[in-house]
Amino acid sequence: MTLSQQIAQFIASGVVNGTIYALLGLGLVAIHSVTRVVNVAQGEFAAFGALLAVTLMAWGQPLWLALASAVVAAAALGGLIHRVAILPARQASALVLLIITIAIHLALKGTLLLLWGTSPYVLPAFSAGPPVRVFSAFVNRQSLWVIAITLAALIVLFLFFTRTIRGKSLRACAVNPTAARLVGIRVERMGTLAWAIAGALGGLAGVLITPLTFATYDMGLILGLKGFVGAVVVGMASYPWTVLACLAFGIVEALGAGLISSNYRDAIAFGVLIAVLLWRALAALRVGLIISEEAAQE
Amino acid sequence: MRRARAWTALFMAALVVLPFLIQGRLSLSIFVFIGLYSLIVLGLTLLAGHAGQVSLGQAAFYGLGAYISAITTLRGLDPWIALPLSVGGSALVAFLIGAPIFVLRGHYLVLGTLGFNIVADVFIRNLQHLTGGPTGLTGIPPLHIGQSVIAGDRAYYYLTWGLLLAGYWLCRNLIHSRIGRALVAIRSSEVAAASLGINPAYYKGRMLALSAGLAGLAGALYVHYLSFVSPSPFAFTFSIDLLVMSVLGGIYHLPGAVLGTGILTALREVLRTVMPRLLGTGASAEYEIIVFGLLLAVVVILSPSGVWPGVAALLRIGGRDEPAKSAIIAREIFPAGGTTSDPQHETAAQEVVLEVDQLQKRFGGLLAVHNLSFSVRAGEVYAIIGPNGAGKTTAFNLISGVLRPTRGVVRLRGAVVTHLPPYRIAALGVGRTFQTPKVFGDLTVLENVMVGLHRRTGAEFFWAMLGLGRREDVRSQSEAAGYLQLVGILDRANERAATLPFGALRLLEIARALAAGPRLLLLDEPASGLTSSERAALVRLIRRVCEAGVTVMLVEHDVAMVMGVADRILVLNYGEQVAEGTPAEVRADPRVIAAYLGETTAEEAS
Repeated sequence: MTLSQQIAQFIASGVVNGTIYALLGLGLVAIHSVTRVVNVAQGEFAAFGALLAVTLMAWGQPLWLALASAVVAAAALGGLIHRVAILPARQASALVLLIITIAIHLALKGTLLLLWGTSPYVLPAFSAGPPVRVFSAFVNRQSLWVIAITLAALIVLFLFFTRTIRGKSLRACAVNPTAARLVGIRVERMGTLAWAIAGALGGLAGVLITPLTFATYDMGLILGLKGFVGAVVVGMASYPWTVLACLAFGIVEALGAGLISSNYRDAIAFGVLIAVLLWRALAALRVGLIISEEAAQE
Repeated sequence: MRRARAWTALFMAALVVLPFLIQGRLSLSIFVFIGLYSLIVLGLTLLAGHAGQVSLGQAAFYGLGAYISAITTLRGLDPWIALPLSVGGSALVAFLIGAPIFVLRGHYLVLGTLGFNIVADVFIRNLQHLTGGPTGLTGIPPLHIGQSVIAGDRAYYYLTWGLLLAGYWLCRNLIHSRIGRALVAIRSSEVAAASLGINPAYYKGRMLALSAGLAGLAGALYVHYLSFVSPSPFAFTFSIDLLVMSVLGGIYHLPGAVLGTGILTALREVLRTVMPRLLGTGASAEYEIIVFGLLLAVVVILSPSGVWPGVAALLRIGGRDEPAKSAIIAREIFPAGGTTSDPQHETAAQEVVLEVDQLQKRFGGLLAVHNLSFSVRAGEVYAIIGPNGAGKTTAFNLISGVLRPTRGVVRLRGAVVTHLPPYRIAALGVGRTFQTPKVFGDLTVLENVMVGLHRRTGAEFFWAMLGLGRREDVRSQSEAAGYLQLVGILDRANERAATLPFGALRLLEIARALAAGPRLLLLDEPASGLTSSERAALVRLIRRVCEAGVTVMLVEHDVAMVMGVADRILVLNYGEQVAEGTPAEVRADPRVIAAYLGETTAEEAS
């Protein structure tokens, strides 16, 4: 393989990973914009969805039903977490809410360990067949499924946010919760909805990558954090930009890991996170964004 | 207070005799580890409870200290020289990461440090020639005194706990110093702290460095204790354990650090024997994370300040040690017949203190301030009036550096300050109050004013940790009391600021701003929400401040008050300058009457 072929291959795998990160990043943005919580447990939705789909298939459910059930279950889990752990503490400081999501991360990870143990699981690819050639890279069929299904999910999400009253209400809560409440939107319910959407997106990410890698009880944190990198690049605010940032991040990570050393994959990924935070800090210093937030709250 | 001392003495005595009591029954090494972990958790508690920030990278700083000490001593460096290198190295790395991240408000530090922990873990495992990779390093020389080697559980038990107590004492001094007050202030309102010349990112960065230094110390002790090091204890999962310990004990109280560490470490030992019995031999100790997760969730939701307050109540200690009211002697501020004692204030009369040139601020499509130009001369009272949304508060935010102008220049005594951050502008002598008072609710009224004195007092970090700022603090107390007397709320000096009525909050803000020694004082709607007698007192206060040589600029809705107190008035409407002049000129200006005052209001004003 020539270097340019290799690079094409890395970019292709980066795009696939980036799509997965985008699903997780979108969930983080949905939760953060409506409930102002940074959800450390976002990746656990992926682990839960993946492991559940594996078990449902082992019980004899057909693939597509197992996948759909797992995504729905992950959505329900998201909504449940909001009701049980976030709503009771919604008056608490951001610090306390953050610690709560760390606690949820631990409890979920532990529960997954209890139910599924430490062994890795795998799902069959959604369709069989040899890899497909895209430009000069060979891409296996599952990767195309990942991209196609994610694209479909994004379109559904876009239509939901722009065409339905509920989607618009959700955006209203993100912009100004007080005003949303005044026009009769139930902000608490919208919070639950946002968590459920995040759960579904996380679960979807989990079932999509399991045919490509293994699913384990502790796969969540790293995945969720990588979604966070993409989301934080664009300030945890914009959905479309989060998707693009996650894609770019996936490509950078794949190129770095491929060209330097795959041992350093995570170091490259989180090195990018630190670099992004530093870059955003410098940008903030330049435009004086730091304090204007607090001043704007008056 | 006396009871707390008695319990402390009892606790120390128990620590000393513990190795002899448990001999043969329990391993002492678990208590060495409680000591080591307590050192790390102490730093984390300080960071979370006093700087309001959480780090999930403490295990990495612990590992950094461990490997710095291991690598340098294996190459022949004396362990006693390696120890400060470990502390300093960890602290430096933490500061370099933290200081920029702290510029971003919110909780980016958690994810930044978690990312750092993962990066550090990858490097430790892969830099084979330096760290020995996954198998680690062996044969690390122990600490020694002269020729005799420090080895064994008992020696490291006393060493670790001795250092822990020393660290505890240093941290305790720190939180009771001016630095500690500044941190509480920052946690409460960064804007208000910055308006007093305090740089929030700097102090939070220092706290992260301190906590990482403590973790580095624990790491160095760890490698010399075990004479062996491998990557596994420094993975980010341990950072999460450390956070659980800190939150469990209680992040607002330093003893909580030791308590939480003790409880969790003991609990883990118990779980490791109970769990396999309960869930079959195949069940690994990893199941403990479910218990830890639930414990953390329950503690945070039900009792966010952890278990220490409950224990303290049980032992009947606690409550804050406040200075006795009689001990505070208010020093007279602005003595009659002269300007302030501070020679900086002697600005030549008629000198231009503040000059605003073509200032413009755009928020999206809204032009909040448009081509604003004016200048304020030393010693005058300059007021900006205008209807709601006229851009008055925006103008203040632009002058004090809270917002950056889209265009235009702000000059303070000739020097351009447009692009300086708020704490630098405050340091140049601009004090301010806020439309909605931003007092530091967790501090007493007196302490609020002492935060105002922050820049005029000098006990820096290490000085404060050694407890050497106390004499200065006594002086600060009497000076702060003087400012309270000046504004008339000295009788409330020891109350928590959050409990004050609204009028007193406004006065407290003025006292606090004056304590910072401003040459120019910006008052944002000082009279709103005040009763008429309070307003009259406020007018007298403004005159007194002005006579003492402080230039006063105010934004106000109360036209009658402005007409009575201001030397010159600027009228704004929809971001545009409508008129400027003495009260008489402004009152007569037909544009002003049309735009803002209206016939009836003008009559009221006169």
